[in-house]
Amino acid sequence: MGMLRILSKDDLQKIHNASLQILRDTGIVIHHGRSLDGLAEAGASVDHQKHKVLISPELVDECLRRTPKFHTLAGRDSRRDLKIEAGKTYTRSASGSIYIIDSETGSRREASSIDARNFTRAQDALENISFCGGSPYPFDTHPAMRDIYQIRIMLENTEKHIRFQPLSAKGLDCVVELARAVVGTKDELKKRPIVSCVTAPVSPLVYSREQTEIIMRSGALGLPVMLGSTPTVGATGPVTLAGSLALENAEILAGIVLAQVMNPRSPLSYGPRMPSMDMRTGLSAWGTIEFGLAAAAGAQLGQFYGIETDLYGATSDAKVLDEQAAIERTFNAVLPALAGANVVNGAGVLESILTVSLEQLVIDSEMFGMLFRLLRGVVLDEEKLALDVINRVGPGGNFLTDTHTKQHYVMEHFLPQVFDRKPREVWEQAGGRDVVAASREIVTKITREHEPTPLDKDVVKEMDYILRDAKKHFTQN
Amino acid sequence: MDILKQISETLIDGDRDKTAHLTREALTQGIDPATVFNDGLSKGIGVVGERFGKGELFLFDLMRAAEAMKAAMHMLEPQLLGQKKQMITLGRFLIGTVAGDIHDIGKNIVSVMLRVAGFEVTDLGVDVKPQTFVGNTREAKADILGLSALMTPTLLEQKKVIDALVETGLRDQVKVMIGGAVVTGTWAREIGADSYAADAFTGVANARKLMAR
Repeated sequence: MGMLRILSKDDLQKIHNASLQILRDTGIVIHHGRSLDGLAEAGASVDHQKHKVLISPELVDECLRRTPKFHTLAGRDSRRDLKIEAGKTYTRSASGSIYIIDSETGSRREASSIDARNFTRAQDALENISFCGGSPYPFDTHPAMRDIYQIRIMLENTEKHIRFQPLSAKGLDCVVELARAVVGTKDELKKRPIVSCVTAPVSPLVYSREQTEIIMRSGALGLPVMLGSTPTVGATGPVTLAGSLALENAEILAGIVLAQVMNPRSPLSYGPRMPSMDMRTGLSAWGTIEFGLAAAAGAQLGQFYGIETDLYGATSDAKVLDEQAAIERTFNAVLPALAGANVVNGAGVLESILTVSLEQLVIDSEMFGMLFRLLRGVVLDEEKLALDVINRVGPGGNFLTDTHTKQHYVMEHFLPQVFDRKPREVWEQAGGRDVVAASREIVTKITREHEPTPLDKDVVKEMDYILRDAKKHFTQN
Repeated sequence: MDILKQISETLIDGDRDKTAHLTREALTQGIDPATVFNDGLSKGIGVVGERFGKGELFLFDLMRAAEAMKAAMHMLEPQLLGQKKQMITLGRFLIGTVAGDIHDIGKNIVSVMLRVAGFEVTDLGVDVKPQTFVGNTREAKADILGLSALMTPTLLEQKKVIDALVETGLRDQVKVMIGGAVVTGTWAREIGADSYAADAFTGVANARKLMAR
């Protein structure tokens, strides 16, 4: 359990019970014949005409029991592997953006393959981005294949784990083929999944055919699936936070049941997101404080079930890199992290996840660095209490040259790379830049210098074939 | 208070049952259906739109008023058939979510905002096939066809509908607007759409512009 508790133990049980009631009495619609059959066999009450399923608390319990508690997210380079377990927090960027803030002009434009490449390389280079969560969908590619092109670019440009959003079940298949080409065999991919995917129902309570199929296929392959739920509070979820928490928890539990009934022991992740409908505009807002509150609560709920939790994160409704962007994303990243989230999402994203920015990515890496330090807390042991040091230095002395200071400085204190602490004159001499300008320099450096280990020529060739085949499929249909 | 004013008031309050009831009353009293629409319903929804624009009312107030209007229209529709010309509207807007996509909240919100702005809106629902769009465009003599898509792959369906309109010779008889968070100017130009919008406000503004042409 994390340092922060938005919900008490009783609250967690209350929400769990509320979700059980939703699944038992209101039910969920699943537009997927094979799953409906599977669920019926497992004892769920299924209306095959309406595609509606009523799930009993017992079945939910059984499926929670089957869900593996820990798993590893592998990177192309095994030094980038991440073990998911209680108490570990990682960070990532988001998938699904379509625009980028141009580094030179500062204006927004559609993201291209080159942008996807640069954004991936930057994620690979930045220390405090634990793994990659997609990059912008390249607009200069076929609309139905953007996930495939995106992942191809990412596999070439990062050695960290990649979590992505498949646009279709066929898209998932193609991405799996690409990943298999990189690691060698399907078995190797199962042992070391270098990709994982995210899915979500259409709130409230509807799983589409494609999304269900994606859950099925990932499960069969042993690829970790993040079960998402993104009701828009007030529109596709109740306007009250408690109600929407119960709803998204129910949707994810349903996803867990689906996954475990069809593929027992498949690795899963718990990923609720709670944007709100701003009733003044009718638009979905992601930078709200309610979002952060719900993210912390969501992190607690996932831990209550003992599975990986993936929460946003660095979210903001700001269109540019300004104070609104900074404040909104910091609240919403810190809250779930303190509540114990395993993954904090959203690095580099603005405009309620529509837009990415390389500069924002750099700044977020800095923010995450602070976050990691925050999570380490205040360590209290004899060494750290330093009584002998205090005694040694004595009244009126100073600690600067004491060995203790040299020994502990770097571990105790986070040293920012981008946030500036120079005195004004020195800062002015160095150019007097704000943090966005400073980030831009780092972006230029990364784009110019950072080279992830290139893939084998044979692998690249195989990927070309896979893409060619995929193109045939998608342009024919 | 005269009955038309009452209808406006109950509509503004979002009282579905009362608005429908009063509408039926007005018809029984012999008031011209087109007048009931223009001076009762349309006026009321106009006030709602104004107040929403000023920040005095919220979106859900708008939506509730729209539901009240819908219920009242049920009463009026049969009587109005012969009088469509006398209804003062900005234009006929046909809307639906494309095939393969079941997201509808954005479509529902923009539909309400369009009605508030004065458009006559027909909603074909979700997962609508190209043939259905084409058939309804022809039948309803729509001024604008709105195609909603939330997912990147379903963008292609927007292209399919436009192509179908070209094939059936209807393309130049209707303006096509594509909508959804992933819709971009580039895509709109690529598929030959007349307009596009990634949010409801822009959608309504652009719909007005299209009618002004």
